[in-house]
Amino acid sequence: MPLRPTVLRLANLRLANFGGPLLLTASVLAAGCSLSPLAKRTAAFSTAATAAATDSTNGYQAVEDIFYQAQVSALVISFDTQGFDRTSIQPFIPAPDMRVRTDILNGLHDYAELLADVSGDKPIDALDKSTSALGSSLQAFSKDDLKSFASAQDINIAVTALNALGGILIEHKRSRELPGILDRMKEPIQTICTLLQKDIGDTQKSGLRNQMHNSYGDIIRKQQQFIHQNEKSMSASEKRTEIERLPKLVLASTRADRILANTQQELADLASAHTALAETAHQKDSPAFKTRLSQLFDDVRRLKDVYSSLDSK
Amino acid sequence: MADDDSQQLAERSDQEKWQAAHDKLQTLLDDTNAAFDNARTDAQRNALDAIADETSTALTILNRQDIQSNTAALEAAEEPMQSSIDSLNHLKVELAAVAAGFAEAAAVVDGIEEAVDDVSSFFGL
Repeated sequence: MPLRPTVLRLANLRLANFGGPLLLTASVLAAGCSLSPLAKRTAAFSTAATAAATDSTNGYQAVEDIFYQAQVSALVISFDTQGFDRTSIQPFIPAPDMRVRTDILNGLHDYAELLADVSGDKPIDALDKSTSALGSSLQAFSKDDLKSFASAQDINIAVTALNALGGILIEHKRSRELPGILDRMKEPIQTICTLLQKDIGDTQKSGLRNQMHNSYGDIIRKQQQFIHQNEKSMSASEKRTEIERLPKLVLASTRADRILANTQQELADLASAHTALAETAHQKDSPAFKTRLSQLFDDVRRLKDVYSSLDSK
Repeated sequence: MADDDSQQLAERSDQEKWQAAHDKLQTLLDDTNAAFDNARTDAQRNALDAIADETSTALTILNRQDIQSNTAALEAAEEPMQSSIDSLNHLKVELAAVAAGFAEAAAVVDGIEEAVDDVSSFFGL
């Protein structure tokens, strides 16, 4: 029962995306030795924030891929007795609800890139039209749309936060307006990151981490069923190969949860770094921001290392 | 379930009820998977696998409902949840028949009853 190389594909996607913001920041920094300290700090933040938004996107995709794999594993076992119902394979998060999350994560990503653009005082015309469209989309989300993302208690702050994020993506700002942008976005970014962390959840209690844990449990059980049901027709070598998959699956489950847990931490540190950036907007030196940014870069590197280790397997 | 337990359950917030139902099912799933790992016969494995399938499906429904925390999603989840509960009740009887001499499976039978009670209360089934 071969497994799809999902995690490796995600790793490649993740590493490819990591190159973009690095180049972006390098060009911003190279273009302007005359950039203000805040503009330089903002460009550095943008690099890490862009990577963090991409990590979260990959986390959602990983859960969907493992959920799919669990359904396929179950199908392999039940096919002889129950056949195949072509409507039985479903996504974990239904498409409209996934779109809400995709737009929010893209909004975070584009906000980070916009900060880099504004820091470099990039001409207004060069700003991506799709970013404005995304901003409109975020502002158009109704409470009903967002019920898929936020609890009843959180729904109003979610609407407000996404309205603010959408607004900032539509407006065209200049570097002199940076302190105002950061201050205005302090709370919305904190809210969005907190809601995303809640959505990722906990291994035993709720959310993506719980679903990932259970999906791997299903895959491991089905793999054992596959071995027991077919061992009489397997060669010794084939049986060995199938048995060897079991500890690999256990390891993959642990790694996958670590990726989601690290992504949660990354989101928390992203919000903290953004807050520190806003609060030190008028300061020449900003040790508090440097500490927060350093933590965020550590998170980014840690996830990059996990993905790289998977890539080398 | 005792009357005072039912009263306490009714007084808890939806979120707490959701978490209690989820916890019960999660424990059942973990116990079932552990029992499955130790099963010795095809009959035991098949019965435990079927329970784990139903429990996992029920947890997915609950997780989706948490993610879609709204009334419409809750109503949409009722029917498949009822189906999972019916299957669990049926499987409990089936598993009891193969559980003789198999302590882990017997413990799972007890777990099913508790989990079904809590999940049924949450969905008002």
